[in-house]
Parts: sequence; structure tokens; C-alpha cells
Amino acid sequence: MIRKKLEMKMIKIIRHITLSRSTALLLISFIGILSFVGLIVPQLSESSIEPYDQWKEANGFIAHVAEALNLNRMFTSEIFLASIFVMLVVVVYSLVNLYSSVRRSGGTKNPVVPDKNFINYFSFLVSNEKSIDTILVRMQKKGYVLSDKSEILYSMRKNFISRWGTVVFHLGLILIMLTGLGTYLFQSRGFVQLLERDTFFGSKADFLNTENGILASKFAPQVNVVLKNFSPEYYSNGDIKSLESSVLIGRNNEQPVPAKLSINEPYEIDGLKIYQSTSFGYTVGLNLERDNQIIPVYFSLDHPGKFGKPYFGTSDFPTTDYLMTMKLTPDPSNKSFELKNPELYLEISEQGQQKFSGIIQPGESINIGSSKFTFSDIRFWSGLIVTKNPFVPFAFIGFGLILIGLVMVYIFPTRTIYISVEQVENNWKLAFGGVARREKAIFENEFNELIESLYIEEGALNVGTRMVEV
Amino acid sequence: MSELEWLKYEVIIHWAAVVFYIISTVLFAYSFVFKNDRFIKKAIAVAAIGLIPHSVALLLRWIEQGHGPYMTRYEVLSSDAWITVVLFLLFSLKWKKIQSAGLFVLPVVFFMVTVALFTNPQMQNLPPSLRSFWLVLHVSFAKLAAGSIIISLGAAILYLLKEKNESKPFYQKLPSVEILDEYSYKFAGFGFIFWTINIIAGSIWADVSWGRYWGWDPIETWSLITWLMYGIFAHLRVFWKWRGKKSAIFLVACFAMSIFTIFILPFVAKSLHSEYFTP
Repeated sequence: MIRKKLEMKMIKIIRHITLSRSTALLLISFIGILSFVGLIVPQLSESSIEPYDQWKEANGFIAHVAEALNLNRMFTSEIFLASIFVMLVVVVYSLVNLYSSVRRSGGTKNPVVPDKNFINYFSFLVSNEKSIDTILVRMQKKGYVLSDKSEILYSMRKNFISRWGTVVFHLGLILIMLTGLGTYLFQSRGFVQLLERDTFFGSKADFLNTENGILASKFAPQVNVVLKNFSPEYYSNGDIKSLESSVLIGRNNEQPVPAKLSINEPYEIDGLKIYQSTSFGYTVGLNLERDNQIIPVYFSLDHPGKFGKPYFGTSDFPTTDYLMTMKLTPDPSNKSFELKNPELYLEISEQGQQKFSGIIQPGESINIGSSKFTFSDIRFWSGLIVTKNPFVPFAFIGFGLILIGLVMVYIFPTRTIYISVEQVENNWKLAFGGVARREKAIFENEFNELIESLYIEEGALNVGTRMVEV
Repeated sequence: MSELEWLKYEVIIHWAAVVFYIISTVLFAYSFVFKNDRFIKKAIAVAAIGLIPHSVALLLRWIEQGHGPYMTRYEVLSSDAWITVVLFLLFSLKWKKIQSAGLFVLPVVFFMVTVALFTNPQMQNLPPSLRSFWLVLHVSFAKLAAGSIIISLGAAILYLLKEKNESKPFYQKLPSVEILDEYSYKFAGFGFIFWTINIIAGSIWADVSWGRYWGWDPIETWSLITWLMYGIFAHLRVFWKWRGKKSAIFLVACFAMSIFTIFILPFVAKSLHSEYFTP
């Protein structure tokens, strides 16, 4: 018996600690602080390895501590995810409480005037009992709805929908947190560097890098994408205006369909989305002839971003010890990115020793020892992003609910006016009291103006009393 | 007309707007120093007149460069100042008691436009990622949020000043501290809603453009932290009944955070956002 009582007491304390408003506020602050830490410490991801390594080299001990505490992966760390999960539990509990509270504050047959949050009290006498009905109608025209009623007391409310706003808002918040967790667990995403006239077969090896949720299976989307043609468009000063990939897309064993991918216009197929990335460039084809073998290799060079700069790339030549440094100038005579007598500046070194340095043009060859390199091809490469995340629509629904909830709460603040009716000899004494949870001072002006207009319109018999209650 | 000529006329017209905003500031200050309400109305009228050359300058820029003013620091500062004046004038029509916040709002506005005029006014082309309907929504609501929180800050600062100097005749002309407190909360609420729409529009656009609706990008994260701060403010206000001085000081902190997010971070942080902003 005592043990059971102790257990219940413990549960009560734990509930109080974990599910109180203070806890909610502390959690929000904690998540904010963790996010702040995630900004200060460079975050490690597949696409940011090089800048992270540079930071690590420059900040030895601090980087070591950050790695030990998982601060370099803050937003997928255990502590962050645990905080989100606890926050989720707290918000669900809040939602249940809010819902019950709003349901309970519906109409009753015996309304009671609250003794707190009272702003003003205003009363006057009228000679006609029908004035009460007229007043109710006038207040309804001002947006007040009769919510409770007894013989001597009326309760009129405006913007009660605002109370539901907090319920809707928290529901949206829950949905967003759940979809966030779902995304973290199940999302798949990969980046492809696809050459013109080449095919992406949807296998893991075809991706340059991938990001998978911890419970997501290996990302092999089973979709074929053939890049027929890539068309960048430029402004007169060389800034990029648009990027478009003309592709054929289809599932394995299905007839592919033509499509155009451009920025902000992804293609969707069977739950997959394929995006045009802003990364693109030229690919240079170099054939190596050696020992009666021809080894064709393609090197992708990045777009320089400005006129007058070459497309640049450095890479090892596979199956050899050669290191290639390449600078491609598409149009040496005019500063443009279009191919007109392109020149490739090529540096080849082997084990630190330079073997060749010079300019070659398409079709030309150079000999280094028994190896012959031929500049065989130039074509565009286009960066494509392939993603799979079934939770995205739910996140958007959550956004919508949050917004609707906020508008309901802030734009329509709840107001309540109580009207008590008392017969005094042959007249009727009407007393008005206004209650507002938010924007009390602003409501006070509205309340005073409203009641004074009623007082004037109904031809009140006396000035009435007016006092402020705290 | 060449781009250089467009820029020249645009800068001159901007300076004309600055002159009107300075005059409006002086009139606001005069009205409080000499306790003359008529000058508040004059100050508001002059601010409204200043809006004309300001609008013309922004419109000229929009026409010449073919897209809205949301790329460079110059146009971001100027357009944020413009929306602040528009919001202030509109809210002043509906809630006359907020007019006194012009004493704070107009100096901030002319300071923003002046700073803008000392940055590089060169026009920038719209990159492919920014060619989207969501950009308009995202940026518009970011500006509305900036305008609302500036007005909220104005009310909060007036509150703090009045609370400290309530007995002085100068401050007795201001609305009551309760009203100032309420308006600071009200406009913070508007700012919170607009900031929410800004984040939502940005998320949807990020999904359409980059394939992920949230990536913990520095600007996204700072924006979220700012949003959380305003959320904390709302909870403190409703559940812990924070009013008055505590509320005003917290709002100043929230404002500082939002200023950092809107005006400083895009130009210093390495992020997908900062690719498109030039100093």
C-alpha cells in the first residue's frame, strides 16, 4: 500500500516536472541553444567534408572536443533528437489539455462572472424591458455571440475561435516534428553528375554522394535518366540566367518519356523527385593509348562563374600515376562560355615531376613516354538531385495548420462581455463587465466605446456607475 | 538610358526620400519637445510624402533590372525601410495611439535608407534559383515581419523611456504605459505571424528548388532561433503574465536577434542564401 502510494507520488512528480509549462519553455530554450551551437561549430556532411577538414586542421583541440561531443553533427545528434522527442511529448500533452480546456469553456445554463481579469464595470438604467433584446441584437452586430444565459445574466463572446487557434497551432507543430523525425529516419537523397548522352541507371554507384536516413534502405531508385542535352543560358555579363536539362526518364523495363528539368521545376515519378542542380560544367574526354589499349576517361570541370576564367579541375588519371590539372577555355577570343575553338591547358605530372604542360585542342594528342593522350571530347555535365521523402506533404500540412492557428490566435483575440439584469422598481438596471485575456488596454477602449454607444442609443435614465476592478 | 544613368537618377530620388524622412523625424521630435500634437500629424504627412520618391526609386530599379529589390544590401535595406514606413502609416490610420512610435520608427527608416545609399547600388541579375513565385512570398513576408518588429520595438522603447521618466511633461504626452505595452505585444504578434509565413514559404521553396524543405542552413537556423525567441515571448506573456519592463526588454533582445538574421547573417555566413547577396 505504501509502495503503491510512493509509486503514484513519483509518477506525479515526474509528470509535473516533464509536463509543466516551465519545462516546455526550458525545452524551447534548450533546442534554441543547441541550434546556436550547431551554427558555431561547422557541421559535417557528405557535401561539406573539405571545408570541415580545413576547420578541423585550424582548430585542433576544439575540433577534437566538438567531435567527441558530436557537436559537428548537432542536428542528427542523440541529444538534439532526444530534445525534439521530449518536446513532442510535451506538445502532445499540451494539445490534449488545451483541447479539453476549450471544450469545457463552451456554454452553460448557469454562467458565472469571473472575479479576475475584469477590466471595467459599467451600469445604467433603462425603462423598457425590450431594451435588453435590442442591446443583445446590437452587440451581435458588433460580432458578439450569446454564449451563456440565465434569468439574470448574459454572457456574450467575440472571436471564441481564437481559443481553438492554440489547438490548431500545436497540432501543426506536432505534425512538423513527426515529419521531421520521419525525414531523418527514412529520407533518401543523392547527387548525380550526368554527362550529355550518358545514362543514370539508378544504382548506388552512380551517385556522387548520398544522404540516407538511418532506417532508409540503400538508395537505388530504379529509374533511368538519359541526359540528351544540357542548355545553360547566360546574361550579357556572364551570370547564369537559366539551366535546363533535356532528359528521357523512365522506370526499368518501361518506355522512357521526354522531360525538361530546370531550377524550381523538378520532375516527379513514383514518389521520386528529380531536381536540376545549380552545379554544372564541361566534361573533357581524354583517351589514353598504351600497350595497344585505349582507355577513355572523362573529367568533369566546374563552371567558373565569371567570364574570362577557365573551367577548372584536377584529378588522377585512373590506372596510372599521372596527376592531371586541366583548365578549359571554351572561347579564347571572346569572353564567352560557348564552345568556339576551345583550348585545354593541360599539366600532367607523375610522382611530383612535371611531364607535360601546354595547350591542346580537340583531336590533338601528346606523347608521354609510351603513353599517348588524345583530347577526344567535350560535353556538358549536369548536376541532378534525386530524392525520396514521403513525409513532405505532411510537413506542408503542418505548416498550414501552424499558420491558421497563429492567425486565429493573434488576429481574433477573444473578448467576453457579461450583462447582468436586475429589476429596480419600474426600471431595469443593466450592468456590463468586460473580460479579455490579451490586449486588455486596447480592449478597454473598445469596451468603453461600445457600452457608451449602447447607453446613448437606449436613452439610459442615468449616468450609471463606472469603476475599474483589478 | 544606360544602367549607370538609371542608377544615378535612382540614387538622387532616394536622397529626396531621405530628406523627407529627416524632416518627418524633426517634426516628431518637435511635437514632443514642445508638446504640440499638430506636429505629429504634420510629421506623418511628411513621411507619407517621402514615401512617394522612395516608391519611385524602388520602382525604377525594379523596371530596369527586371526583378524586385531583394538581391543586394542596397535594395534590401531600402525596401525594408519602405515597408516599415508603409506599415507604420497604415497602422497609424487604424490605431492612432501608435503614431507616437514614429519618434522611433522614422529615424530608423532614414538611417536604413542612408546606410543603403552608402553601399554599392549596382544591379544584380536574378540567378535561376530565385526565379520563383515562392521568392516573392518569402521576401515579401520577411519585409513585413521586419516592418512589424521595428514598430513593436518602437513601442517597447517608448515604454521603457516613459516608465523611467513618467513624471516629466515630455513623456506625459505619450500614450499610457499600458497602451504602449499592449501595442508592442500586438506588433510583435504580427511580426511573429509574418516571420512564420516567411519561414514556411522559404521551406516550400527550398523543397521545390533544392529537394529538401529544411537543411539547417545557417540562415534557416538563425531564422528558426529568432522564431523560437518570439514564441518564448508569447508564452511568457500569456502564461507567466510578463508585462511592462520585462516584456519590453525581452522584445529588444528578440529584435536584436532578428536584425542579425535579416541584415547581417546573409552577408557574412556561408550558406545557400548568401550566394546571392553582394556587399
